[in-house]
Amino acid sequence: MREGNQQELKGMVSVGLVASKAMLEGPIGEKTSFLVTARRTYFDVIASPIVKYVNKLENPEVDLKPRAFFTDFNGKINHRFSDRSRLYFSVYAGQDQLSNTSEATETDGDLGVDYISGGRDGLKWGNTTAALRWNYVFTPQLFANTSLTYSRYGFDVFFDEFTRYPEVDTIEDVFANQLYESFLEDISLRTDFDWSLNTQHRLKFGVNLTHQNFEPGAFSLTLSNGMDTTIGAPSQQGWRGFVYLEDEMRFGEKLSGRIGLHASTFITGEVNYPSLQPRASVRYQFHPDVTVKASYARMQQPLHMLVTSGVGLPIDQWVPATERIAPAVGWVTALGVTTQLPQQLTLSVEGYYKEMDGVLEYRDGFGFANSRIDWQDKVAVGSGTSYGMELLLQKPTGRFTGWAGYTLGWSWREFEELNFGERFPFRYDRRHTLVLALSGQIKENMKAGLAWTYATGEALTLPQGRAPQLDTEGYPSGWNLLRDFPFFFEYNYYGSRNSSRMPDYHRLDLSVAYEKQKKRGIRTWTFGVYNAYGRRNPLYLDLGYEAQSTNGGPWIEQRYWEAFSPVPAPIPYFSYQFAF
Amino acid sequence: MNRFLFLACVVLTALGSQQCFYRIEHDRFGTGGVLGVNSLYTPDSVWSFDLFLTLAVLDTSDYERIPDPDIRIFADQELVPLSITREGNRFFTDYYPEHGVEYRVEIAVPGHPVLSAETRLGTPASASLNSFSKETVRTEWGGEYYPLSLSIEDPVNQTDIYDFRLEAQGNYTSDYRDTTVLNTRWGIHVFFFSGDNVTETRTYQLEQEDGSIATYNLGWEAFEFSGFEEVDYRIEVQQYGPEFITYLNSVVSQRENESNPYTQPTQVYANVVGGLGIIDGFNRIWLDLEE
Repeated sequence: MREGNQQELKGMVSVGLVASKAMLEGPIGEKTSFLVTARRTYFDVIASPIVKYVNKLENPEVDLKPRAFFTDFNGKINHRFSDRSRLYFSVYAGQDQLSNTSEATETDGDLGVDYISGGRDGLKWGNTTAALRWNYVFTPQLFANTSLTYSRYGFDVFFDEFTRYPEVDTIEDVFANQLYESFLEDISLRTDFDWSLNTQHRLKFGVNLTHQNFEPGAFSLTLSNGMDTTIGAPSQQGWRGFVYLEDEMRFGEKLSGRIGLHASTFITGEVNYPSLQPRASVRYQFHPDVTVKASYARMQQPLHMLVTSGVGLPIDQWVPATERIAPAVGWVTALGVTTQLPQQLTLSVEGYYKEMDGVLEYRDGFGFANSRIDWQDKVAVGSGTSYGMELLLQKPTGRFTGWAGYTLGWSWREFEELNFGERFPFRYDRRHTLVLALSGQIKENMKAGLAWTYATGEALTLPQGRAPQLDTEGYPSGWNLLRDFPFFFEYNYYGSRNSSRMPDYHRLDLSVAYEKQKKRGIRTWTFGVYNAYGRRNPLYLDLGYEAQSTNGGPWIEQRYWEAFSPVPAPIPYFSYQFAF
Repeated sequence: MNRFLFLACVVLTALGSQQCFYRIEHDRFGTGGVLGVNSLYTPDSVWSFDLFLTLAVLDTSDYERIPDPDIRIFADQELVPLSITREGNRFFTDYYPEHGVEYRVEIAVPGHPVLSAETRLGTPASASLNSFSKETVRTEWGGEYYPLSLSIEDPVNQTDIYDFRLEAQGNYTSDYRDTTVLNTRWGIHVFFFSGDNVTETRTYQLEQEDGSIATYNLGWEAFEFSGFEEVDYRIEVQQYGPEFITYLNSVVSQRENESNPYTQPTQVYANVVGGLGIIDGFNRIWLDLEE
C-alpha cells in the first residue's frame, strides 16, 4: 500500500449501485502522513427485497433474507523521523459473508395460534493484518526494514434454527445455534537488510521469527434449554524462524543473476523441522530485444491447504505442520524468454516444473466439519507435481493499453492411501487460464475498459454413475447381507478422485468512464456491466431428487443436477466518484 | 438516464436472483455404462458372478441385461473348465472354490474392457461353543435372554471370544453391546438356524484408517428367538476376507457421508481391474446348540 500524500489533503468518494468506497490521505504535521480506504458492497441490500418479493409469489408463508457482501478497510500512517529513519503502521481488515435467513409463519393446530419458525445459515471469511515497519538507512548503500506483523485468517460456518410463539407469552422461544469456527493467527518479527556492495554485487540478508497459533476448528452448539457446549481439537502452536542471504550479481550489460540460501526451521511441540533452501536465478540478454532467464528454488512450507472436492461450497482451510505432520517441501525450476515486439508490445513466455512432498488431502469420508475427530486423523500425506507454461503479452503505453495472460498448466497429486494409489488432479488443476484486459482513451475525457476471463473448471469428485452393491440374496444360506438397509441397493461410482470438472468459468466486464475537471476536483461517472453476456458461472453443484407422478401413475424418483450461480445475469452498474 | 439505468438494473437483478439456482444438462457428468462384477464365494457353493453396467447418475431405469460373457477362472494359473448358466445378470458356474488356491478371474463382455481380479480364500478359522445355558437370565428391564459364548480361532490372529445374548422375547432387539471386540480384521457374521428358519444377526469388525477396530452391527434387529421348544438350533459363523471388509467399509462410509457437502466423497473400494466391483470369499463354520 502506498504512502499517504505528504503535501496536501486529498480524497475520493465513490458511490455506486452495488458498492461504495472512499479514500482520504494527507499530511499530519510536517513529518507524518496517513491514508485510509474503505469499501463495502451492498448488492444484497438492493437484491434482498426483490428476492423476498419474488419468493413471496411462490411461497407466501416464507420470508427470505439473503445476504452477500464483502467489506474491507485499509489504513496506513507513516512518520519520518529523519531522512534516514521512517516508521510505517498499516492495518487491513476484510470480511466476506454469504448467508440466508428464512422465516415461515404457520399455525399450531393444538393451540390455534400462529408461530414463526425459521433458520439462518451461512459462511463468513475474515482476514485481518496489522504491521509496524521501521525503515532505517545506514548509508546510501545500506538500509534495513524491521517489521512486527500480526495476521489472522479465519472462517465460520453457522446454522441457526428457531421457533417463536409471539402471541403466547407462556411459551418460550426455542432455538439451536450451531457454529463452526476455525482460524490461523501469526505474530511475526523480521529484519531485512539491503546492501549494495558495488556495481556487481548487492546483498540481501535478514532474519525472521514467527509465532503461529492455529485453531483447527471448534464446533459450538447453543440451545434454548441452556445447553452450551463446544467440541473441537485443541489449538496448536508453532515457532517458525529463518535467516537468509542472497547476492544479486551483475556481470556486464548482458548477464545478471541471483544466488542465495535460506536456512529455516519450524518448531512445534517437541519436534523441529530444519531446512536448507538454496535459490538461484540467471538472466542473459542475447539481443537488445531478447532476454532469457532461468531459476531454481527449494522451499519449505509449514502451512498446508486443505480442500474438499465434492458437491458443496468450496472452502479452503489452512492447517499448520505439527508433531505428526511435517511441513511440505518442494522445488521449482523455470525457464523463460522475454522479447520486445513492434507496436510497443512485450511478450514473455515461461515454462515451469514443480515437485512437492508432504502435501495433504482429506481422506475419503472426511472434511473439516466433524470436530470430534482430530484433523490430523482426517488427512493423508502425499506428493504433488505441477508443470506448465505462462504467456504474457503486454502493451503498457499508448492510447490503447492492455495485457493478455495465458497459462497452460497441470497440477497432480499422488497418495499411496488415496485413489487406490493412482495419481489424480489437484482440486485447483486448471488446464487453461486466459485473462484479457484492455483499456482505451476513446476521447479526451472518456475511457473504456474491457476485461475477459476464462478458466477451465475446477476438478471435482462427482458421481459419474450408479452401481449395484454386492447382492447376497440367493446364496446358499439364504441370507441377504444388506437387507436391513433399504437404501443400500446401490452406491455412487465416482471414478477417479477429482475426475469430474466444474463447467468452465468465463466472464466479460465492460465499463466506460467520463471524467470532468470541476472547480474542486475531478468528477468521474462510471457505467458498466459486470458479466456482460450473462454467463452463469456456478459456485457449486448439487445433486437433487424429487418424486414425480404422471397422470396419477406411480411416483418415480427423478434426479437432476443443480448449480448455484451467485451472479447469473448481467449486472449493470454505475458509480459517481469525486476525487479532490 | 440515471433513473432508467437504476430501473433496468433492478429488473435484471430480480431476474438474476431467480436464476441463481438452475438445473444443468443431465448427462454432463457421466453417462454410465461401466462394466462391473460382484462375487462373494464360499467353498460350500458353486461360484457365481453378478455382472452389471453402471447407470448414469440421473438414470432411474433398471440395470440392463448384460450380453453373455466369457468367464474364465484360473486356479493356480491353470484354466478351470466351466459350464455356465444364467439367471438375469447372475452367472452360475459349476465350480466349487477351494481354500488356499490362487485364483484369477477374467470376464470378457463384448464392447467392454476385460475384467480381472486375483483372489485367494484364506485358511478357515475354527469355532467352538464355550458355554451356553438354556436357563434364561432376566434383565433389569424385564426381558430375558439365554447367555452364549463362542470362541473363534483365527489362524491370522489369536483366539477371539464373543459373548452373545439370545433374546428370549421374540420381538425384542439387542444391539450386542456385550460383543467382545478383539484384534481382528476379519468380519464375523453369525446366524442362528432354528429348524428351517433362519434367525440372524451380524457383526462386522472393520479395521479403521487409524488401525483401530470398530464393530458394526448391520441391522438393528438382532434376531428373534422364541425359546427352545421342538427345534434344534444351529449357529453359523461366517468369516470374510479383508477385501470384502474394505469394500463394505467404503460402502458404509459413502452412505454415511454423502449428505454432508463439506466432506470428501468416499470412493467405493474395488478389487476388479478394468471395471468395478468386488470379488472375495468367505468361510463358514457351523455349531449346534445341543441339548
